Parts: sequence; C-alpha cells; structure tokens
Amino acid sequence: MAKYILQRVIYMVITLFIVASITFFLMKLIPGSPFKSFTKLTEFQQTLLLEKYGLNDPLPVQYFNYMKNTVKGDLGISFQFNNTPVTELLANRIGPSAILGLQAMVVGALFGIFLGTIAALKQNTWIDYGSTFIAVIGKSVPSFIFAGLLQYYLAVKLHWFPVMLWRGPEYTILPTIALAMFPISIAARFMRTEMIEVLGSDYITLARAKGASRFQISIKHALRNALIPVVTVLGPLAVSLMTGSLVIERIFGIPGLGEQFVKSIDSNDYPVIMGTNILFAVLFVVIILIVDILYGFIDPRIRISGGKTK
Amino acid sequence: MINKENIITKDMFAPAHVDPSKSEKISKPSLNFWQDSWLRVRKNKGAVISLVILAIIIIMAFVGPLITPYAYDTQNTKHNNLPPRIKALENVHWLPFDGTLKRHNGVEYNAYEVRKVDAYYWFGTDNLGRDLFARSWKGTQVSLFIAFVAALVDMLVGVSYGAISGYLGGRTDSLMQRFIEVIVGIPNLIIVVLMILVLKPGIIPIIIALTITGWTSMARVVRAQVLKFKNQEFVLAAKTLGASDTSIVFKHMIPNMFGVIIINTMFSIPNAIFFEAFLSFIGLGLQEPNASLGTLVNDGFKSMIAFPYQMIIPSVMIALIMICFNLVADGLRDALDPKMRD
Amino acid sequence: MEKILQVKDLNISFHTFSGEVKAIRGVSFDLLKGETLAIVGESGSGKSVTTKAIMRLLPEHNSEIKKGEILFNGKDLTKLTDKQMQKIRGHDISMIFQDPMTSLNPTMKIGNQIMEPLVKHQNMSSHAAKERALELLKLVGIPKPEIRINQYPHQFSGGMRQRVVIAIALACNPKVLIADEPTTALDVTIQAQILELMKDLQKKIDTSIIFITHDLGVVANVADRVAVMYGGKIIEIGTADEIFYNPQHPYTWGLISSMPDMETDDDELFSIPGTPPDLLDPPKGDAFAPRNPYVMKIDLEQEPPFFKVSDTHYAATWLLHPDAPKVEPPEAVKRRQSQFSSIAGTASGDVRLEKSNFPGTKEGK
Repeated sequence: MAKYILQRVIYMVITLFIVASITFFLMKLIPGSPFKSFTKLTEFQQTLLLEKYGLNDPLPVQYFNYMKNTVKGDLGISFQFNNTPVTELLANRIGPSAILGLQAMVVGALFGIFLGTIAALKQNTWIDYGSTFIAVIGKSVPSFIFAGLLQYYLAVKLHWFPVMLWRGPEYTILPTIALAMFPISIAARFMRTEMIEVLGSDYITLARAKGASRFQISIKHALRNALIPVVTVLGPLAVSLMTGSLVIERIFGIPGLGEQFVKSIDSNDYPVIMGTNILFAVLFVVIILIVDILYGFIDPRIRISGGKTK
Repeated sequence: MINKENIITKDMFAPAHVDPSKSEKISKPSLNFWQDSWLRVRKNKGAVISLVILAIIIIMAFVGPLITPYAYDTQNTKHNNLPPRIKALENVHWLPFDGTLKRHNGVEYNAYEVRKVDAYYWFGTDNLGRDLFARSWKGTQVSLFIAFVAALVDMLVGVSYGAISGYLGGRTDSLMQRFIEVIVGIPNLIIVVLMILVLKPGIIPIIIALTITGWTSMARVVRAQVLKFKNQEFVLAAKTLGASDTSIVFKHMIPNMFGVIIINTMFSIPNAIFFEAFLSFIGLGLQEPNASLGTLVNDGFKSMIAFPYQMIIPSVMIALIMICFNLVADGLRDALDPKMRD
Repeated sequence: MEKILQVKDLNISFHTFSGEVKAIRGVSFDLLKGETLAIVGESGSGKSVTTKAIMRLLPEHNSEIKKGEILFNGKDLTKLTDKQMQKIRGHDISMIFQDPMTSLNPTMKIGNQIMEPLVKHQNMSSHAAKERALELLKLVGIPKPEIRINQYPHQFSGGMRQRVVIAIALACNPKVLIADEPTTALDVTIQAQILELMKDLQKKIDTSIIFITHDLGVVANVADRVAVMYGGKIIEIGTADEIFYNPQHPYTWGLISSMPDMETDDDELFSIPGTPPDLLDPPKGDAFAPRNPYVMKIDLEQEPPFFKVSDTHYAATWLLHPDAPKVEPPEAVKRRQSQFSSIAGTASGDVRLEKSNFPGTKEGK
C-alpha cells in the first residue's frame, strides 16, 4: 500500500510539472503583449511594465523563475487587480467554491447512491424507471442549463429562492442543486449497475440460502460491496464539479474561483489564469489520489493484501 | 409404475431412423451483426424516439434557417427583443407563442401590438433584432458540426493510436501508455481553456481544443480490444496465412470492434456539444455574428429576467439534443455490447 | 426408512425473451433420512433448477413452479411465503455452491459469515456464535481457526473457502444438505479431500445430502442412490450399485460408457452424439430419442413411463416394455452388468442379449 501511494505521488508530481510547463509555454505563445489592452499606456510605460514583470528576460530565465516561484507558492501578481498577488486572490476566493463543491458532492453522492440502490432493489418498477429518467436527464443536460432554468422558474418567477449572490445558506440551495444533478445521475446509474451485479452474485445466493432476510441481504451484504466500486467514480465526479462550478458561479454571481477565472479570461489577466489552472491541476490530482487511497481502505482485498488485485 | 393407457401396438417398437443432423437444427434465422444489433436497438423505444428527434433536428439545422424570411445575422434594431409569435398558434393562450411579455409589475402585454410591428418571429428576436428561429437552427448546425468533426477526429486518432500501441506492444506500448496517462492526468478543462486562449476562439480552434484531450478514451478502449484479439485464433490464423500487420489490424481486428468504436463515438458527440457550450458560456466561444447553441444560451442568459424566451429556447434545444444523443448511445451500447447479449 | 423430503411431479418453467422454457417437466423423488442421493446429468438437464426450487432460490421475476409439491416435514415448500421460507433456509435445509471463489462475501470476515445463520436461526449471542464458529472451523479442518476467523475470503485458498462454505451450511445442523457440484471448481486432489470431509461430516451430523454433479466418478464415491436427469426429467433412479452395474436407460449406458475405467483396454473415450433437447420446445415422445441409437417409433410419439426394474430401481425407457426388441448394451455396460450379478446375487432378468453394438461416435482422447 505504501509503495503504491508513493508511486502515485511521483506520478502526481510529474503531471503537475507538465501542467505548469504547458501553461507557461502556451501563455508565452499568445500573440501580443498582455498590456496591449490598456490602450492608455504609452510605449514607454508598456516597456516599464514588461520590465517590472520580468517579461523582457530570455525565455529560459523566465521559465526557471516561474517554476521556482510556483513551487514556492508564488503565482505572480495580477495585472488586473494591481499589486495583488495571485495566491492571495485565489485564497480569498476558494471558500465559496469549496462550500459549493462539497455540498454538491455530498448531496450528489448520497442522493445518487440512494436512488441507484432503490432502483436496483425495485428493478423494472416505476421507481426504477423514474430513477433512470432522472439519471438520463441529469447526465445529459449541462449544469448551466439547469442553473439557468432553475434560476428563472424557481427564483425569478416563483420567488422561492434568492435569484443570485452569496449571502447565506439559502443562497447556496439553487447552485447546489444545479451542480449536483450530474453527480446524482452518474452515482445513481453506477450504483444501480453495481447493485444489480452484486445482487446476482453467488455470495448473495449463499446469504439467501442461509436464511437472511431481504433487508439484511440488501444492507449487510449487497450495499457495501456495491459501494466500493462506486467510490472510484467520485474522483472524476469531483473534477466535473470543478468544471461545472466555473459557469454555475458566474450564473449565480458567487464570489468563487470560477467566477474570477471567467473574469480574468475576459480581461486577459494571464497570471490569474495560469494560477487558477495550476490550482485546479493540484486539486485534480490530489482528489484522484485521495479517492484511490480511500478505495484501498474500504476494500479489504486491497487493504490487507496490499497493492491492487485485479 | 403407472402405465398410460395409450394404445401401444407391437409395430411401434420397430427401430426408427432419426436424422442426427436434425437434432442440431438451428431454430432461429441467422442474422448478421448489424441486423441483430438493429433488432435490439429497435426494441429500445427511448433510443428509437431519440433517433427520430435527432433526425428531425439535423434536418432542421439545415432547412430551418432557409424557411424563415429572416437571415440569422441580419440586425434590425427596430424589431429587437420581440417575443415568439406564430401565426396560427398565437390565439392558443397556454402556448408561449402569442407574442406577449410580462412587465415587472406582472402585467402582460403584446409586444407586437404595443410596438406596432407587423411581423411574425417564430422564436422571437434578440437584443439586436436578429431572428432567433434562424439563429437557433444556425447555432444547432454549428454545434452539431463541431461535435461531429470533433468526434470523428477523436475516432481516427484514438483508433490509430490504440491499435498501434496495442499491436506493437512491448516498449512502444508502454511508452505510448505513459503518454496517455500523463494526458489523462491533466484536467481537460485546463488544456481546452489554454488552447482557446492561444488559438483565439473560432470553429477550428474549438475543434482542435476538444480533440487534444478527447481521443484518449477511444485509444484506451481500442488498445484493450487489440490486446484481447491479438492472441485469438482468427488473428493467429491470418498471421499463419501470411497476412501483413496492417491487413491484420484493419481487416481482421477493427471490423470486430466496430461496436465499441461506435458506442465510444456516440458518447463523445454529446461530450463535444457540452464542451462547446461550456466554452461559449465562459466567454471563449464563437464570435459574433456567428452563433452556436452555447453562445445563444449565453446571450439569452444576460437578458433572462426581461426576455426569458431568449434563454429558454436554446436551453431546451441543447437539453433535447444531449438527451437524445445519450439515449441513442445507451441504446447502441446495450445492443452492440456483446456482454449484454443473452 | 423415513422420508425426509418428497418431491412430487414438479414442473418449473422460465419465462424468457424467446418464450417459455420448460426446465423441469414432472420430476418426482424422495430423500430418505441419512442417505446421500446423487442427481446426475449434463448441463441444462435441470438438476440445479430442481435443487434451487427446493430452496426456493429461483429468480422470482422469470421462473414459475407450474405444478407439483415439495414436501418437507409435511409442509409443502412451494406454498410457503418468503418469510416462512427464510426460517427453513440455512436452518433445516442448507446449500453448498459450485464455486467457492465467488460464494463468500468478499468484504465480510469469515467469522461473521459463519455466525450469521447461528444468530439468525438459533438466537445465539454473538459470543456464543463465535465459539460455535470456531468449533465449526475446526470441524471442517481449518488450521488455526482463532486467526482465520478474523480473516477475509481472499486470504483463503479455493479448497479452504469451500470448507468455510461447508461450515456455514452445517452451522445449524441441517436435516438436508444440498451440494450443488461442490467439487467441480476445485483441483482434483482438493476434490478428494472435500468429498472425504463431506462423508465424514454426514456421519457426525446425521444429515441427508442431495449431491448434484455431472461427474460419475464423484457419484460412485459418495452416493447411496442415484437419479439420472435428462431434458428436465428423471430418466432412471436406483441405488448406486444398480445404476452403475445394471443401468437400463440408453442415456445411462451412454454416461457409463463415457466414464473412463481401469478395464477399458483401448484409450478411446466414448461420447454421446448430439446435443441436449431444446426445452423451449420439448420434443414429442422421449426427449432422448434423437440421440438414442436404439430409437424406436414409439420413442418419437409417446413419452415412456417408469418401468420397475427392482423395488428401488426404475427407468423410463420403452426398451423395458415387454414388446420391445431385445438390444445389447455397449461393451462397458455389459462388463459391469456381469459384475452386478455377483454383487446383487441375482442376474437381472432385464438384461437382453442380442446383437447390435452401441453405435455411438468414438472420439480420440
């Protein structure tokens, strides 16, 4: 197990290094100066700015400095919000994003698992069809479409919820629902498939042959075994939530990372774009790693034998 | 035990002749792979209905912009922000095609009558007075084009990469697999956004950005299939008969994995539609006056409160397309995946 | 002897995509106290379905018991509710499955899996159940049970897992133990050990066993009586000696001939030509007729009833009808029949001596 984790961490570092490098070089490829949009600046002022941000140095020097600073956690200074370090900007923004993401993940996973389980237990009944219907809609329709429609019908027309902004728990409900639809549907479908497979397995038949009741079989034997593989989808789901949060935050005016990212794209604020990218990449690999380790812990086949059994 | 009181005559005990080949008779008509799959898809009502809806949408994407008198990019600011109105349906009150809007105080009014416009914009107009019917179908056309091309490129790259990696095996394979692992390790959101920033938004850059990460899942699936087939008798037989490597891969292996290739492609189409819309929504989509469904939703979203139809119509369109593609893909997977066969 | 379980005219169908599959078509047999009854047949003959029906473990959504009774302790099991059946499963009747690699819950400790029926049926405290589980593990020959009890299935070998499954099945001292091909998935050496263990335990616990297998070698080893199934029916039933040394049905002849034995001098193995019948559309007459080298016209028209060979031995073949021509069974069977007279003391009058070899295909080994 320890060896496996170490190997994964090494992979993680390599991936992050590549992400940082790609980000750097692609940003350098963008034609024109980042200050071009500030038309009021004279040529002299532009040169001063380029000098100040070290953008006149030879590329390898810039690259080296950039990598060195990134490792130290210094992601540069925002062009747009003058003199504010990117790290500080991101730190101020991560709170709402984290709350929204966690809420959506918890709601999505729990509700999805619940839906998938009852669908499997009541196979080919209206409960099953209903859950499949929700799953198809949730999987197909992009979260920002949900967000827009929910916002219009439930907030603007019916006034059940605040339309936008981030001022208290009630403000989080609509964005959470919009964001959770995708995890709900994926978890529900996956859970249903796993549960049906488990319910058809020999050890469930043996449990029935022992005289266990339906309820005991579903809870004691089936649920745990079906849940283990479902944990593997949590990683990709968390990543999809990161993508979704970009637009959801914009729609609901939530002061999170995504909203700032979209703004910085609008204003070509490259240090913020690069910084956010790197933060996303770090979150991405760390989440995947955590999910993998979690998987090892709840599955005794991996926890005890060590290493992945196939 | 009890002997049934049937008439049993002596001559019934004469030896009989049974044609042994009869016991091996095949009771079902033999169907080839495609006929069989089609039969299975046809059983899935959701998939069939979705297929019909998709066909209509695709036809309308080309025909739609031609059947309205207005062009998708002609601005007419005098006619801006008009709600949908359709001639015969305008008197059916519960349908949203009567040309009415609601003021802030909740009073309904007919925008066409108030502004003295004598025209019928079936889906209404946007804030520059462009016909949304034409724009919606034009946008659908663009979105579908991007999605199809992206899926096609994914397929070509993925199949070649996967086939080469799996077939050559050994060090080449492990090198190619490490490469995929690194690509998969990078969130595609990041790559797509960076690529668009570098290439500037447009149809081709969006396709490139989508395909840079999109091909990996196809490559993995194809590689797994190639590895599976590599040691199977039909491939070994072809090898023994002196078939070349390319002919083994393209003539013997790939036709056997059409099923998985099609399923994978069917799933990558809605994925591409999603990413295109997503990019539009964060400001990296097509530039005016071009339209895609994503940019239409994005524009509509800005004036959602006053003119909700501008957001709802393209939203419903995207949702419909995505649901249909997913249902068809699910149906195909159930039909083509040999694991599901009984 | 006391009949512990009686199956009477059982008919079971599966409703499938392509139609109704009549998997069991009128099966009747009795299980006596303390005996081992082997049910033999090729895959699809209905042997597993019969036993799953006794346990009422058939899938509910597509299977149906069309007719018949399964009497246990005077109760008809086919009429019980699932709740009532839960009290019988694992307590009075328990079951061992074919594949020990998949029949244990991978995420549950072995001890808990053994304790489950004890807690459920005997209301034991978890402490008492644990004691009993240790005892059972010792009984089935698992070394260091104190350590093993806290381990997971993946830490056990196939043979060890099957011992655990046996321990689970025997936990409540069941009156009937159904073993569905319990050794098929195991190595030959392990097979012998498990068979020994089962024989041994049967004596200790005094249970009746229904032993399902397609392996006649195993049958000879364990069974008191043997029922041969073909196409959803029992076609011959008798004591092990009767079936092995005086078989009457041409299908049983085929089975016996295809079993390698010491006396066969050539190294060719016999096989029965053709394939089992399609139970979607069972043939008129005798289901074995298309593969029967001794086929007669009547076989194609009427189903043969059971003909009595001895008090314990019945076979469903028209060859036993007085009007039937006398046919000569294949070599291997003839050899055995000659031994039978010495075993049983009486030469069975039903052995007919005429020409005609068993003209089955011969297959090189």
